[in-house]
Formats: sequence, structure tokens, C-alpha cells
Amino acid sequence: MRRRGTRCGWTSPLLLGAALAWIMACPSPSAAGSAKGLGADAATLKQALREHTLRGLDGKTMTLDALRGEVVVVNFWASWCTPCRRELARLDALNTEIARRGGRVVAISVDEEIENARRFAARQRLRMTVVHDGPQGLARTLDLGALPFTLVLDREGQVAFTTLGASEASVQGLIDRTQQLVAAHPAVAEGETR
Amino acid sequence: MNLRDHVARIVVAIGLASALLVGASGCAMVRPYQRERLTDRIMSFKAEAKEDARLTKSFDAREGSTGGNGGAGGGCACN
Repeated sequence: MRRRGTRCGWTSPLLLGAALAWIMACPSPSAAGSAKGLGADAATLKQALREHTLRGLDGKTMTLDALRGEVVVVNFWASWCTPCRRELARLDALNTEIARRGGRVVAISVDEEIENARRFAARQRLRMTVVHDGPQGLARTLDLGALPFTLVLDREGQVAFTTLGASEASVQGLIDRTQQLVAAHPAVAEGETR
Repeated sequence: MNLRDHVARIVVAIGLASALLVGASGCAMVRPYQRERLTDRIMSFKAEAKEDARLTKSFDAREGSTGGNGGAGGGCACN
């Protein structure tokens, strides 16, 4: 039987087109938003920080806006995230250090189950404020680009800076800059006016 | 078949293939905070994921290797 000559002239563009379509079908990471590592725009960020309600491990609710007047280190973590677990021990120490000077660390768990966050916090004897918000909460609203992710709010409730990941350099930078922020704008003592 | 028909068939074929792939691909971006299920050891490609994790931990400790397999610390088997 005579075999036809190889005619691959139309298969190449077909495969190329299909490959391009497949690649384009994959969603790309969102563009840079209001701050480094955040996909959310400035308006969404502002509204979320003002209104989003967080649930503590003890069941009590709180908003970040209620902490205005303090330097607040907002850390997103999960019990399944190894770098987060390492970072939390240092943030707990930072919390103890800045608590006397009008600062605090709020660790927001994005675990699906609150029990995992509760178990980890108890085992590590964390003394900082630990709340559970799940993966569909503030983390999704802000569209975090990394985990762990930390944003630091100044005493006016504005984002002073953000930190992605938990490399030694980034964690140390976070601690140093937070200490500078706390020292630069001391908390107003009771009875004192600014 | 003339050239125009040939080109038309190619264009139609590319369009159909593209539509099929776009619709059928399971490609989705999993955000960092949504990866809890993916980080479970059971998601490992190895048959005995938990056993492998135990062996890896022992190996890291015995060799004093840090971070090579994602483990931390090492040497005293206390991590």
C-alpha cells in the first residue's frame, strides 16, 4: 500500500493555537494593588480594614478599626504553613515588647477549621491576639499574594508597610521597622493630648 | 480543495480546539491562603506520603541537613 506523504502543514498551527489558548485560559496573578503583595485596590483595603469583623479564638469579635491609636501588626498565617509557624514565635515576642508602648500583633488564621488554629495557639502558648478568619475572609478580600503576609498599621489606621513571606531578612526587617514606628509615634498617655 | 477552503478548515479547527481546551482545562489559580488541602501530606505523589515524611524527618536529623527537604533544624532529632 502506498503511504501518503507526511502533511503536517496544518497540524503545527493547530497545536500552536491550542497551546496558546490553553496558556491564556490560565488566570494570571492579579496585578499589583494598593500595597505590595495585595491584589485589592485602595478603596477595598480601606473599607475592609474598617469594617471586617474578626472572630477571636475565644469567640469574641473585633475589628481592626477598633485598634486605631495603636501600631498594629496584622499577620496572616495558617497552622499548615511551616514558615508562618516559625514566624509566629518571633511575632509573639515582638507583641510582648511593643505592648507596653502602644503596639500589638494581631495574628489572623486562614485555616479552614478554627480548631487547628486554636490547637496551635495553645500548644505554642501564644500571648498575642489570635483570631480566626478562614481562607474566604479578609485574606480573600485583600487578595493576599503570599502567606505569611504581614501588614503594619500606624496609629491612624493607615498601612505603613507590608511584608511578604518569612525569610530571616524580611522578618527582621519587619521587627525593626515596627519598633521604629512605635518609637517614632509614642502612644498618647491617659489624660495627655496630642 | 482550493487554498481558501484549506485555510478556512484550519481556522475552524484551531477555533474548535481552542474552545475545547479553554472549556476543558482544569487550570485555576490557587491563591496562597487557599492551599490548605494541597499542603496535606496525602497530596504527595509518593504512595506512602506519611511514611515518607517520617523518613525524611529522620534523615534530616541524622544528616544534620537543614532545609534541603523542607525540614528545619537537625542533628538532635528534636525538631
